[in-house]
Amino acid sequence: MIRRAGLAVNDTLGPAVVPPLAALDGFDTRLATDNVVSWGGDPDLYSRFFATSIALDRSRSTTEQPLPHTVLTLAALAAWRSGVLDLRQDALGRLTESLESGSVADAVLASALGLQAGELADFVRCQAESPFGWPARGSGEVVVARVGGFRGLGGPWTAPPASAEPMSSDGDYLITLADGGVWRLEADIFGTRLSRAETSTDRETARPVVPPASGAWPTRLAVFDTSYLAWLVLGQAA
Amino acid sequence: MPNRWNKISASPTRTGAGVSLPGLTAEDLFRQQAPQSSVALDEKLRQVYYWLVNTAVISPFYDIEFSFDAPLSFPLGDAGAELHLPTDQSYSSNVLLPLLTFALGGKCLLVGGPGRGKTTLAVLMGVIAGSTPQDVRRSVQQGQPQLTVSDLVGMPLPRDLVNAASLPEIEIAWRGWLTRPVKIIDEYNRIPTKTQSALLTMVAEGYVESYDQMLSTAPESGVESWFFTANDDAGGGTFPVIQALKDRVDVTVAALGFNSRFFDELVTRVEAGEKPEENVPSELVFAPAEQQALAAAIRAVPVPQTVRRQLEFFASQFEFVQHGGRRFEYRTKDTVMTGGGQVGEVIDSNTGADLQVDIGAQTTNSLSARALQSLITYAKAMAYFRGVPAVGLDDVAAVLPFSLRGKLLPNELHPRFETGADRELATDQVSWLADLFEQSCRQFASLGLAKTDPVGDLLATFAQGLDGVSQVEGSRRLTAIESQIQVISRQKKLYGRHFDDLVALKYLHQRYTNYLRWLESRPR
Repeated sequence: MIRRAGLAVNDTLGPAVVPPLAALDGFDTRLATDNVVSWGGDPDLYSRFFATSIALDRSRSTTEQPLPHTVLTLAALAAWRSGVLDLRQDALGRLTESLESGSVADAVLASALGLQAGELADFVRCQAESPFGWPARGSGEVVVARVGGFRGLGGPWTAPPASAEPMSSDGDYLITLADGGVWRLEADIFGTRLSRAETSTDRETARPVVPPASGAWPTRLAVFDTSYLAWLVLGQAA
Repeated sequence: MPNRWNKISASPTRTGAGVSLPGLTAEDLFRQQAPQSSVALDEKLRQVYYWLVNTAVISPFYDIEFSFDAPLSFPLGDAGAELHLPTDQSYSSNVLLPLLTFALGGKCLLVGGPGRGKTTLAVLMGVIAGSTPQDVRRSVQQGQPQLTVSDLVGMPLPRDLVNAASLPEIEIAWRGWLTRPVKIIDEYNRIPTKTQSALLTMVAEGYVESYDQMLSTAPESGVESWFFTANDDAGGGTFPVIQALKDRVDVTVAALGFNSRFFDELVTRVEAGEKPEENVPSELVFAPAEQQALAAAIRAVPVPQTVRRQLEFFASQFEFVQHGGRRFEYRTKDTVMTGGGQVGEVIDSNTGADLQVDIGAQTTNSLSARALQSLITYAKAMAYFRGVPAVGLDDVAAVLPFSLRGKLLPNELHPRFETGADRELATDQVSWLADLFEQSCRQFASLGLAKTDPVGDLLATFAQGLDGVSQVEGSRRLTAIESQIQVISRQKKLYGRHFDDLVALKYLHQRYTNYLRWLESRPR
């Protein structure tokens, strides 16, 4: 079996019956899907979580159309859940605000993230500590993401990763390949982004940062002689 | 306009690193992203490049290579030839270098046999700068043995010549081409020497003078580029090109031959009777304000310290020649040349250094400050064109052979050019210069100069100023300088890099000595 890049949170997602997305007044849902794709998100995951949460909201509401505030909140959560890293701050802000005000039902919010309603408060608390915060953490080390892969099999690399240096405590790594190429990894619990560290200058100016040893959600990037994939591993809390 | 000329490469023409979009919000999800109406200038420049190579001129050569990883290489034949397949966007030098010349307002010499598209390419630059094809064609100055200064710049009105009582009263009918943004001199090595001198004033100073009247050659944008063509740059032509004019040329590019696999395109053009310069899409034309902004943006691309240091190291190799003179400062190639000696012979007589290691021994001259300025400017232009935030060593390596061609001259007596696999480098200047820079970078790395630079540290300390430096501290620094000279003195072999370091150390020594003298002479 060929192991491919992916995220642990998506590995356990089974097939789902995605309800058709009803037209939403004042919102171009096709444009939103295109934007999700251009920002590195998975369009199928986005459609799945957004349509499911909107359908759940509709089933509980008496109004004909969802409130704009609800649409924006669910869209942000679903887009983040589908892998758009840069929406994390906005989505978390909207989630916290909705939980506090009760403007959107907990079950609806949870469905946009693929969680149970009872896990939401824990999820917000964990995310405040780390981009990899997750309520069902379990014990021991967990591989949260597999990144990279051989170009011939759809990955970005022509040489295996040789070493990785943490650039911040937030899942930012500089990866050096066996052929000398240098790549940057940014990640959170729902998504990863690999990009070339374009110039040698980038490499020299980027200073490795050792994550605080007492971090509650320590991560490391494991590389292997025998694989083109690098594993982002969530360690045990110190 | 026939449709086939209208095809412009879709944006983005160059995909960079995954772009981070901090501050993205849910509202952005439902918004059309990135307005398509205004194309960034670097993107427009790349679109022009791709239109030129893919549509306008038939140039399937990708000799300026960039690779993320090691390129795939294939050995070919039994004479050491290799074909590389680069992994990043690579470019055709005979199109890219003229385009960068237009963008930054430089001077480009296009060399190559007749019919290789040198003039067509230069004319295309004129059209991209906003002139009509007819105006550009009319403005091309054809070099020929009878070309006079008046032919080139214009002539005084005959009426004024008869009636004027003094020179200022004579009105000159200036030629229209003088103030065009793109100036083209065809076959400049057929222009008589006197006319070349008039041309030099225009190229070097940006103005033209006749009968005490002066005209600035700057166009509306203030950015003017010059294109010269010649059948060769090795001294051929009707008149030898004066050295000062040659030295003003920023880059020299060879127009490459026609690839017979593109014969169909040639036939289509013959049948349609079309010329590329008459079919430039209007979206690719740069307005004067855009040209100004483009040149300014190129100048603003930073050169990081690491790149500067490598360039410093490269440039330091060429001035020194061990037996060039008696005094240390006069041991230079320039001393030998201006004294009528043969640099190659003087280098050959040096038994104190390893000629194979001494990069400076491969040249008969050194680099002028002007040549280095051109190199820096073109490296910035290359980085800008590639959309990278700062000049990298690869940008420098890409433009260096074209920038130094004809300026850094090979020492034909050097063993490298006499026998063996490198003999072909004596005539292939571009490959030789590229190799020279590679050698320099390898040497820089093997000497560990990226990590330690004691002379640089001493210069940096001095650059902080002398205000408040005590006598004790001044003396300590003098001692540090003398120690550093002692370190070099202990090495028995002396190379070009040591020469520049020693001259700089002597300079520092003088400055501190004078400062200490001044401190001592102050009333207490």
